[in-house]
Amino acid sequence: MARTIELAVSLKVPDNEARSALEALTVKMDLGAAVKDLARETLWAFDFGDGSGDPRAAVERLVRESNVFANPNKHTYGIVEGGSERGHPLDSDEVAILVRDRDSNWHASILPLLRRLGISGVENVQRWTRWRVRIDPPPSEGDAELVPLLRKIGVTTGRHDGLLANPHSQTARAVLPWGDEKPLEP
Amino acid sequence: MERSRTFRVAVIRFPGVNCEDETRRAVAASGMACDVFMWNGPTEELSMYDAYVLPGGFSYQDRVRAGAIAAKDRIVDRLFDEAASGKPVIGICNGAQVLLESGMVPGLDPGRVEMGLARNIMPDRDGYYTRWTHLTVRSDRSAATAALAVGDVLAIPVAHAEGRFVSSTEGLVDGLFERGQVVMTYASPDGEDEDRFPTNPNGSTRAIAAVANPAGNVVAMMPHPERAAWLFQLPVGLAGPWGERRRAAAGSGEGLTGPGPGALVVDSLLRTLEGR
Repeated sequence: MARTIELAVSLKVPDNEARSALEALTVKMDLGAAVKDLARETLWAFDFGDGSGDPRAAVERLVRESNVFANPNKHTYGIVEGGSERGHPLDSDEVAILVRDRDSNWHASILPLLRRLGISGVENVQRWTRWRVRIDPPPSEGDAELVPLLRKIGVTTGRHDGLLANPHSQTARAVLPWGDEKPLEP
Repeated sequence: MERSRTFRVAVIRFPGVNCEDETRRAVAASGMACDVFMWNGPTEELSMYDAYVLPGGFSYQDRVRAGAIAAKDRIVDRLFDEAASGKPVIGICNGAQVLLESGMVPGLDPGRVEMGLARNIMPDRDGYYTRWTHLTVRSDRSAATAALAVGDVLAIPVAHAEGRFVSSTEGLVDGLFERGQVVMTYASPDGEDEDRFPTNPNGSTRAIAAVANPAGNVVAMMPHPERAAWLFQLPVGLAGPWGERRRAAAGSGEGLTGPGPGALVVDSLLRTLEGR
């Protein structure tokens, strides 16, 4: 049976990239009233084909022996089975914005590494940046202003609008605390 | 033609760029006055300049996406206004990324982001990539090509991880070619179209290397002309006519300090200013 193993990597030291993004949103883009905090993690999904042995153990070894996906001095990571891009659980005042390159080539890039470590059966690799955005007021079902706000945070459509994804090269979607997903592309 | 005054060019230093000094030297070599202008400097002073160059490097350490955070800086609003008045703005590499992320290029609907510079796509490798490229001039109606002719070939290096011109808007790229807004494409050393790696070093759509706005005064180019401003900067083993010139100049101090292909981009900026 084909299986997907997901790896979520986040920094345990201050995340300068998230701080810069937060400053851009709150100061440069004047969204400080709505955006209260920002955290970032990287999600990897490894699709294994049928008969691939123990995929979870393979990903654990990949992380441990490659020093490519996580540096134990500054990263924490979690490995789960499934392909639902879960990452860190959302608080009630958070939404997740998932950004992925439209035509990335991660599988080809990682293939030499997989070969070197003798890991077989990986058929596809995908990578997301998952931004957890703390907003005020907290997200609520039926809030008509929620998705427009998330688009203004997530998708760069104009000089003053959007930051986290360029829709010409990336896709973006929001995951809400109650599990709903919303595409954010214009 | 004798100029009545010396043109002034501002090279904008965002935090994290690293090509501002080389760019300033290359611009100054053409006789223009050139200053490095801090991104958080008094923006009203920008109006004293005749043209602007956004140099290469890693503004804000390429956080979020190359050029994305610098594009939100206050100084870009001022550059937008100066460009709207017709002043030339050239973005090189990271500067090009800022121009696309701010909607200044391609500028069909100014301020609207109509393209991206996506991560390189290359066979069997990923990430940052640098090499000497050859470029064919597709249009002479831009601030980066006004001193050149259509079909001219330049040899200029690229060095980036996110340099692949893309647009998700159907027909946009075709329209850019038709209107002459694609001002340079990657080519073979003899200037032949060749849309494959490594001639096209990053998988850019239709081998696009540089795009201008409709007026031609704002240009986003991924290659680094400041690294090819003098012949001595060219590698001895470079293929094509520019390589021949470099080899012919070997051993001659005067020859080696002669203008390289990047100087023609700077000359184009000067020609544009003289024509305003």
